[in-house]
Amino acid sequence: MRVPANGLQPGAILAEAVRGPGGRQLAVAGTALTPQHLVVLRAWGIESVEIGEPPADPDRERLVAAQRVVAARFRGQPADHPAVRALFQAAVARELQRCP
Amino acid sequence: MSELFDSLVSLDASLAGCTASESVLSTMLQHLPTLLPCDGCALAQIDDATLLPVISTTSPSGQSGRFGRLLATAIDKGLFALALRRGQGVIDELPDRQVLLLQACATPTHLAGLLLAVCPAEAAQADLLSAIALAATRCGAAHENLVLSRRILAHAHGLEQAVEERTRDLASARDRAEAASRAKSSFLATVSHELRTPLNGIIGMTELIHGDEPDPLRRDRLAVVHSCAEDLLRQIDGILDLSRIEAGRVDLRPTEADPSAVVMHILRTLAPRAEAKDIELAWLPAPGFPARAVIDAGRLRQVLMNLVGNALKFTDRGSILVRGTAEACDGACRLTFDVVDTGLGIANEAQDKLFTPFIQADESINRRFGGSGLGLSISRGLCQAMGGDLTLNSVPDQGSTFTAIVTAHSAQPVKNQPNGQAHVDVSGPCGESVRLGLARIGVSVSPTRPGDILILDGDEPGCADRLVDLPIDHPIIVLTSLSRPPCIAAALAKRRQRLVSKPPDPEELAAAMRELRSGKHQTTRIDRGSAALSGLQGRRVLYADDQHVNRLVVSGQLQRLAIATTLATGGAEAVSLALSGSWDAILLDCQMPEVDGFTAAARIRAGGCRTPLIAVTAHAMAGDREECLQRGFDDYLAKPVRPTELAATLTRWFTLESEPPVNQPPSRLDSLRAEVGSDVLRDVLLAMLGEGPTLVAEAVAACGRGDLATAGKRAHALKGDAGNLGLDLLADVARALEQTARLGDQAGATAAAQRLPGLWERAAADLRLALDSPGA
Amino acid sequence: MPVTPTIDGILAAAGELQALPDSWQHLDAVLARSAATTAHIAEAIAQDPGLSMRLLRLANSPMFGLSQRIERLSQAVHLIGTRQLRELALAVSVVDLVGRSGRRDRVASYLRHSTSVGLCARAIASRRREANIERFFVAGLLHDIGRFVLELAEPDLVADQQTQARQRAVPIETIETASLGFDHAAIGGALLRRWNLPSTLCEPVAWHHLPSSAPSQRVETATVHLASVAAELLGLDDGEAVSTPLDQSAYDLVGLDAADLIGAVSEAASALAETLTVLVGTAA
Repeated sequence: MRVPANGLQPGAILAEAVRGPGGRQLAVAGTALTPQHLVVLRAWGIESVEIGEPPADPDRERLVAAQRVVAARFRGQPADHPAVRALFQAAVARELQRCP
Repeated sequence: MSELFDSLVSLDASLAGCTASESVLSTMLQHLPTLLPCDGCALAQIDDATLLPVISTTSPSGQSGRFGRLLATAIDKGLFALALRRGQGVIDELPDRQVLLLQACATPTHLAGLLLAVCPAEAAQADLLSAIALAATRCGAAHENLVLSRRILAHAHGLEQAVEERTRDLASARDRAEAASRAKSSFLATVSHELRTPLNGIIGMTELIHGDEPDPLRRDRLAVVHSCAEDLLRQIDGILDLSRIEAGRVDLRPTEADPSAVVMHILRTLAPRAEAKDIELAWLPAPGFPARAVIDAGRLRQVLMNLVGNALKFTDRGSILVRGTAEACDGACRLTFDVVDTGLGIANEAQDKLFTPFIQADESINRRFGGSGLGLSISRGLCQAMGGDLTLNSVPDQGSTFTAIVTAHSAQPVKNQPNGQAHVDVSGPCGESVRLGLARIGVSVSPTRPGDILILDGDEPGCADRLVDLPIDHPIIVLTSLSRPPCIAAALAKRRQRLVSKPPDPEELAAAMRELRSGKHQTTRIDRGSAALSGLQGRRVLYADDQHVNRLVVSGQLQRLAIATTLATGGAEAVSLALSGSWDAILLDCQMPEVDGFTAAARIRAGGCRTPLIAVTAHAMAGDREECLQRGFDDYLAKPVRPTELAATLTRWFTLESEPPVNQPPSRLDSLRAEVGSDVLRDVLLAMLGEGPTLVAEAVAACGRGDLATAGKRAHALKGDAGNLGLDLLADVARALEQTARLGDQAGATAAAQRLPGLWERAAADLRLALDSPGA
Repeated sequence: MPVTPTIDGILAAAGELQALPDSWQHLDAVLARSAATTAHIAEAIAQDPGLSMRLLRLANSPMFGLSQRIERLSQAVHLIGTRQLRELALAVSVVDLVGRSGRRDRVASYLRHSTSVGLCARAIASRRREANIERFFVAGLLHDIGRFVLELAEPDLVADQQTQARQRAVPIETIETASLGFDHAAIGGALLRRWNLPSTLCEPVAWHHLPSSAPSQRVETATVHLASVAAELLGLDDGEAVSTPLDQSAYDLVGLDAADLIGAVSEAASALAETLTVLVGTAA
């Protein structure tokens, strides 16, 4: 679950590592956030972090529907390109979030 | 504007000159006031613990507190994050028309630090800020380069360390492997020794029981036990040797030796087996074959024993000949031994496999003949170690010739002084062997002439007929099998004859001819009875061994040879028995606790006893024989002691050390008397009796103080005199002393020197007898 | 027989959009003076209360991520930087013009798409540590101005083109080029040149479908191309149109890895709603 930095509470568990500008790692995945972490995240201008368990696998029907919607936009793209693949995954995730 | 440009260029040059990442940032901080008219500036770096920027340096110094507060405020406002996110600096308003500049020194992938500067608001102009941003980016890039190169260097250093560690690991692994190899050798030697002792008992006792066992079935079973035990013994020896050869640790101990004697020893040892299969053995040294050569006689013996033993194994009829040839080669001498059999032969395709460990030419051979398959690998390894090689030439069904070549460091030719004539009536390889042997001792072969010694083959059915027309006093040498009484024994009674066992040894032929010429012959001895053939019966032998089983085995073997045996259980007892009794030979086990065989031998010699001393040792090492000979022994028997070897060795010494010829003057004296007349001979004898004690005493004394040069010279003089007077034993020992002294072999020289006084006394008695004799 | 429109003809039908507002031109003149101080600039901006308010709101928007509210214009000028200020002022002015020119629903849809690409381009530039990332924002914001202008001039034609593109599942520029001989990018580029904007803005707009053909501003063009493709593929504008295929050499030129690109696009997505409120709110 993506949570804006200003909505974070101490004790929340990071689902993925947080990196600052320049790639510096500020917290590893699995970190239980302390008030000091919140200070650091704010200082480095981190806007949002992934919290908690990774989103549960959506049921297959929804996933296929979301993939179908997104795939329509991806027509004509170089499908093997790593950036395109990453964008497709992000787009499917966003589509699933947008239409719960 | 141009000033700004100059400042930028100067900063750029300074950054380019930085070799440490820390100096990049301090250079940037030093140059910042030349770009921006500021009222103090500072550098902040990310603290690894808090992950927040902290002030590390200020300019002017001592403003950490002020800039720390400014930084905290900027972080709190989110200006630090903003500065990180864009290439351009961030300006924040301060009181009193001043502003704070926050400028990250960074690249997209690296944050070097954060510059803070306080300046008047009007100084913060766009162009200036762009220039600072540009400089800060350069600074970030320079910093990143140095950090990366340091990481690369650290990585390379880590690699170097890894390589070093790996090298150390390898070195220690090598050390461990070497230690393990040493431990393995030592283990194998120990195991070999530990296994050999009980095996001695098994083999020896089996032989004894086998001989006494009336039940043929049980005898066959005992024969199987015996053969298994011997196989096991060979395996142990083979593995021990192969491991040494494979480790390249063949200890060669070249000493001067008679290569013919090595061959003869082998042939004599194997003769009973050959006779049992009715196979003829013969040693055929070519005319140029040396009399003495510096070789490792023990290793050569091992190789040839293997080759002749194999030949015997794979030959069912015919003969096994050992041909010896020699050729000079770069100051050394290459000795070639061809072992020629008339056996199975080996097919071409199997010949290569033959030298591979544990492989025999034909798997079925293993079942038929046994053996480990190690022998030829070991032999080839040994030959190569001795500067030669081992090769094979074979035609299936016709026989094989194994050719062993070794390099002798030096060699002495046979001294071919004319030594009379003999008529040889022996056919086949044995006859050839005799003729070659006679040539080596200077005897020319003639048609029958009155007075010439006749040499006959005692095993030839018609040979008794040859004697019919011969005068009763015609000198005869009869070649006979070791294990069979000569078929003409009856016809030989009362004749002037000597028996020489087959295969004939040139040395023995020479001795027999000397004796026949000197008139000392065998008529009395043959009367002693059936066992008198080898002259062993009734001899007195002392045997010392601390191990009960060994004592039982060897004493049993001695008793079977009708030898009167006295046993000692240790070295000290052996010494006291040796010195208090009268013995024909003394056998000493080398490895006895407290007083070992070597010590006992030295004490026995020191006590004045001149009886032949024979070492008995379980040392598996080749070269032990030489060591024993150097340390005071006259001969050597390897455990397990074999009856045939025991008999052959004792026979040899009893022949050499036969009773002093009190009734007969030395033969050489007779011929001298004939040559020079009685008066001259008398002078010669007196001179020798006068000089002899001095020469002997000086040789012994020089040897005792380590002056081997003097000892050698005295020994040389003594050898010449003794040789002239036919004092062969004395001459032999003097020669041994001369040679060992020349080789710098202190132990060998001492052993020889110790024997001189006793031999001299005996020789002097002979000489006085000759002086007193009617002819003189 | 319908007359095939030309670019000039289309621009001539763009009404008020044919020229930038006076306030921006005045500000641009002030900013062009290198000796201009923050005080001068703040004074110039203050003459346009609408612009002043919108710049302050932008300075307080998630684009700058500040946790303390910027209250004074001089503070905003300092913070944003005078050069960036010029870009943002341009952005605000154009959004103002657009808002006044078209139908409300078309404006909202257009601004949503434009702002999402602008924010993406800015976020990508930020990750590249570009100086003056605001010009990337403006370039992204303006990249499809040609489409807006074309729709103003030829609403029926555009509706027809959109239907065709949807039916044939091809990018809209393919249909435009087929029917007009040029696409909306060419129209936008022509408009920006008419506005006397620098090539760092004109080229990314004119070549964002064919970034490798940009004559000089390759990085800017590639960044806008990547931002538009990414924003469209991710659906930031909630549109369903088929996007221009990703130009791989442009992607390589920008030099972000896939994770960084997703990070930049996510950052843009999270700032989109509030930024849009600031921009559109002022336009309303």
